[in-house]
Amino acid sequence: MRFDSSNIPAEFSFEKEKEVARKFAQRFQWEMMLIGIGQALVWLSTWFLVINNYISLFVGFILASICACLAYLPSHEAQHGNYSRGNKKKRWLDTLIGHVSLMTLMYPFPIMQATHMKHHANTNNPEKDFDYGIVSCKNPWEVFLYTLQGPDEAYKEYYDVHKHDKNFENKFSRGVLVSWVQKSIQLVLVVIFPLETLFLWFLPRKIGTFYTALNFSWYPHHGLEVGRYKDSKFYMFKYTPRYLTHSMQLHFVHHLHPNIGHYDEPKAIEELKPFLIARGVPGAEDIPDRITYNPLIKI
Amino acid sequence: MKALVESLSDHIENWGMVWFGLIFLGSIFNEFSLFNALNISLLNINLFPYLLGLIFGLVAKYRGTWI
Repeated sequence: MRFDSSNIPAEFSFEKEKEVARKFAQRFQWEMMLIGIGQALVWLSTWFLVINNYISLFVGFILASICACLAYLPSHEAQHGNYSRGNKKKRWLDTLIGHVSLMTLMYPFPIMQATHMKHHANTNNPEKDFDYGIVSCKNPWEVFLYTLQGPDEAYKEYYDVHKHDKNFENKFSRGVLVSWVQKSIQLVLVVIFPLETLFLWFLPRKIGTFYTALNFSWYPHHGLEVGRYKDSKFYMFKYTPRYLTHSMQLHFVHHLHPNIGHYDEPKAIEELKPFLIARGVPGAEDIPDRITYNPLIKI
Repeated sequence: MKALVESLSDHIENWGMVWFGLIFLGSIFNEFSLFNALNISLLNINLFPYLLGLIFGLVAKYRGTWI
């Protein structure tokens, strides 16, 4: 999306903004790697522990649900290539973490990568944004129903819009195969371990999907227009620490500079604040001067 | 190979909900004794829960939605 820079002072030019952002897009995202692989290992362990009666199915369900809520973000960094950072020799890291982290949610990594790139290029565009079905929900209840149903039908329509893009089409087709493998594994498991599959995979994945859709797709973009600097907002919640929402209050900066690592976003926002205000990013005036471990609670 | 993948894709697109109902929901229902009230057995498998799952899947297919 093109944006009008004619009224922006030279000191807040796009080039200068990019220069500042670049400083925060260098570090290796080891925390994300740890969370991505870690939650997948914990989730796999719950199967072993529950099946062998070391922990109850209920405890397993709680653990699996927490894992499902933690599963998307590490893969999201992989979708943007933020582990390899352009180094072809390290690209396997993106692929590995992308696939492993999404096991819990049963999402196919290639489809997530392909559709997420289209989401960035077309944020809030009803005809082109794969996430628009969630963004257009009127309230969290509608998001819940949408995620319960799954996006299959909506994805078919958006797929038709983007299928002329070869790169997208290739990734999407590969993702469909991965999805079939995942679905087949689930159908085999449910015959052997019915309740375990229901409580350690199916339900946690629904909970994780709802959590992810609400915090990543709905709240940061809901009610906003199309356009860089306009399609995502900064916000604060009453009494909710930002860690409980994966710091998605800061998601807008990811849309401006996707290669900034997730845990480097607070520092980047502090330095970018004047640029964000000059550009009129929704909510930019409310950004605190310092974002440390401040949970961004509005009191 | 491409033709096989395409026909598989068409089948899953058209009948995925029915298979999910039969296998997934059927297996879950089978675990709950409530659904075993009607005993129609074949090879020692109670068919009633699977039949129920299949019906859910067929209804979802013809409605085009689970909810």
